[in-house]
Amino acid sequence: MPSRDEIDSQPQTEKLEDSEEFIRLFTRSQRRLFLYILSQVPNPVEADEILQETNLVVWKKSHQFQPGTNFIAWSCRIATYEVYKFRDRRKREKLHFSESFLQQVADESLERIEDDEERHTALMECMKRLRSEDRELIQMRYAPGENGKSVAKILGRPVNSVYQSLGRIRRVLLECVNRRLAAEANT
Amino acid sequence: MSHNKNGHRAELFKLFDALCEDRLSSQDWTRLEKILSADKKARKQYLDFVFLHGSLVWNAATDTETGTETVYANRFRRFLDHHSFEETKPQPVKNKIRTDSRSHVTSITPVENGKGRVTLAKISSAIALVFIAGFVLVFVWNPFTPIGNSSPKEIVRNRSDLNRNEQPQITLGPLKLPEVDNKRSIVDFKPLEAPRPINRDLIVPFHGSDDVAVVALIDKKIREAWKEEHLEPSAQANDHEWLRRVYLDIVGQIPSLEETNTFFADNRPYKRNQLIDDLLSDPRYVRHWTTIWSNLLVGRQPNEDVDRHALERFLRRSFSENRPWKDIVSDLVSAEGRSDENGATNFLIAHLNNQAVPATAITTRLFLGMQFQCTQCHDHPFNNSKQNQFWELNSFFKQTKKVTKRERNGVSGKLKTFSVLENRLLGGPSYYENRQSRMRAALPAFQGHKINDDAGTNRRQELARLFVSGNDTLVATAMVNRMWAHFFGFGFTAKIDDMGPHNKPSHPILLKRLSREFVQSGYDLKRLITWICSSEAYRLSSRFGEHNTVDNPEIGRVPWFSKMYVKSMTAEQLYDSLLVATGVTAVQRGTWDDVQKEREDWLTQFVVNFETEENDEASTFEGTISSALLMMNSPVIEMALSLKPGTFLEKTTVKKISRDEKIRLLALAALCRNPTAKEMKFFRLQLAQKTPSGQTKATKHARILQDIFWAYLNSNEFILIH
Repeated sequence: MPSRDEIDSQPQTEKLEDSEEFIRLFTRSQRRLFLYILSQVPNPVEADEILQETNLVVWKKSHQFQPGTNFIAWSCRIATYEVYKFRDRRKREKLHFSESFLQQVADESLERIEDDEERHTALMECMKRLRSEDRELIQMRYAPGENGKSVAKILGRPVNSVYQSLGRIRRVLLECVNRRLAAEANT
Repeated sequence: MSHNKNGHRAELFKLFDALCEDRLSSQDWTRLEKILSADKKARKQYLDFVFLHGSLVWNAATDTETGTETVYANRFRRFLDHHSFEETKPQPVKNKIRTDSRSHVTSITPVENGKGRVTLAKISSAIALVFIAGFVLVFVWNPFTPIGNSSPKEIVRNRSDLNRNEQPQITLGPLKLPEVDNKRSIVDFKPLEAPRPINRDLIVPFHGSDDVAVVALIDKKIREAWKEEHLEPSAQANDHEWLRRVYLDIVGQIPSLEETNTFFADNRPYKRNQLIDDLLSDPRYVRHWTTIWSNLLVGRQPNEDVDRHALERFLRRSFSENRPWKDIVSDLVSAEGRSDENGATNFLIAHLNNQAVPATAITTRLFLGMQFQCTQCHDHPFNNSKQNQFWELNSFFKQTKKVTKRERNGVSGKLKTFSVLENRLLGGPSYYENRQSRMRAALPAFQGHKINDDAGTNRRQELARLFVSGNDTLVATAMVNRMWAHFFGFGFTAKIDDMGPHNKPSHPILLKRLSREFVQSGYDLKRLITWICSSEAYRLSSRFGEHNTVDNPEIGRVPWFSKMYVKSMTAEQLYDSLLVATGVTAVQRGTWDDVQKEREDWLTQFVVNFETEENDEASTFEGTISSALLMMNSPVIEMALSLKPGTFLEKTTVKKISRDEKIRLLALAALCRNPTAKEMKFFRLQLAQKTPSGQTKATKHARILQDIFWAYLNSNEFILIH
């Protein structure tokens, strides 16, 4: 992991005259940053928290970012640091993955978020192609603050059957996305 | 090995599913890590899965095409703003949960939009949140402290604030208003009074007898078509419907409560014509049409070469002086000089890239209502335009060059960059490649008129001259068609900017006569608007009658204007109307520039630039409820719907009037109409509910009124022009 010093020691560049570019990069990076963090801390609420902390640091250090260099890579380094800080605070009581595993995943994750834009477009297409009842269920599940359990309660269905349905729909989506990406790569 | 893998696969997916639902035991975690560390393929699947799960979380599983970046950035900004709005002294807050109008906003499913842009301006109010033993201390620093001065340790946030699960949600479900049926375009509300037939003899004041004749001509031609198509027009629009429509169409925002009341109290039989006249001399008219035309001319997307403010100044002056449209077009086509001094130059400065192909295409599209861009590469498949015509037109721009210059301000010493549109002394043809890959030459010519091609002839001045000479100009026809479409939602041709033999107008004689009248009037825009708005067709209700349900251009039929077609508000109309309805301007802080900046930032979130050769762009603002919800994702709207002293909502809640009257005022402010009996009954029920413990009756009422106002502003009826 990069140390705080390493991040701080980046050459000071002149503050972006027009912060527009930085804002654009920042806003466009958000989902990818979130996914990058989530791959290491696979709980959306926690990942969100880390993202917010990362954001604060990204803003604070905006003057250190060198225009023209890879913004995602730069902010992911900050995120990595925030993931470790988060883990430290957790005092290892609820740490799920080991540190060595995280490093392994982090590098591959950084590589993979490159094609996030295509992946995302494909996902949106696949969502449209779901059967309407499946789409409704998945939308209920992923509405802010909901989870499989709460959805089962709302629908009055057994929790396990809802888990099963959700699992099936996720797999349908995953296959659909991969198929679309493969088709695109071939054309 | 393969057996192992299949076994893994089933097990992996089981683990993934449990992961998504937060149901992994510690053994499961260990097992998961073990499989993943050993197998790269499994790690790939894990990432696929986590990214899918994360994207669904991120988007709340909506299937909208674009990303949520702006929503997210706004959320982040809100988080910062939220704290900077707090008192300026350190203040202990224990796991603060907000319950004001903001909670409406945070409970909304994220709605996506394209390229997001947010300001850093407010971010610079430095914030440090210190998390100490369950207490959150909120410090707000001097807003002018630059970011980067606080030590990293201080940046620990209030966790509860961003925790999705803990966001309070105010259920708006039961308060939902009846939705407008988009497909049938029927607005379901009861008129206050029966529509009054308009006595046509009383249609005064007018500028002259010519106007009466032109309006009569429009009515005659439109009626002839109804007869041929066996249509009977819808009923007249009532005052409410018409008032809201004419305000939105002419000045770009809904009327204020006072304006609505004034209009209703006016008993003069010609009050509608009087209002059209008044609105045309209202400063908001100038602003609305300046917005429309700056968006058409240079797009919404910021472009660093373009001095948008200078262009707006040019347009403002043109519209407020009611300059003849042909002069405005001539200026835009032939402008020279500095972008900051001659605002008209910015139109071409924005489109001179790529051998002036966009300039050629957009000039013909906007001012002539024709699409020539396909013919840059080949002859037009449907009409007689040939490839050489495009390049002959393009050749008019051959001398034009955009130069970027810098200048040091004599007083402040600051460097300023600006663009200059220059005319070079060049002669001869433009070159292009035809389909057979042969180079061809094109000399400047427009509609068969050739001009001198030597270097001394200013080609763009010649083009401007050719554009507007004669009694039947494409410039006039295109503008009449565009204006008609502005007021009716549909023009005389299926696409207003693609006229030609392949796209025949629905009312050819009317279009021709109106264009000629427009030329005769000296290209007078205000008179053109007066004619259209005074016509019988413009006074019709947006509801279908019994005998005109087939008149439905929304499903691709030819429009016969036997009813008013429902239009969606533009992003600008929606934003400005919300300000009017909520009276937020009274409590907004900051200078006029800040207020403008906030508006611009909000608007640019909807723009998608296609980066095509023709500099196309689109607004992702669809005029739907979801766009409206997205709109609420802005500090100014939050403030508008808050109970902050000074907003319309707050003033209404504390007024010493009956509850029914309060509800009536809210409906009138939002929709220019009274509440329906059904709405009234429902809202009364809400207000009669038991007061929750820990709340005063006044607070409860205020909250419910807030919800009612919110429901009105979020209704389909608000966002449509009917």
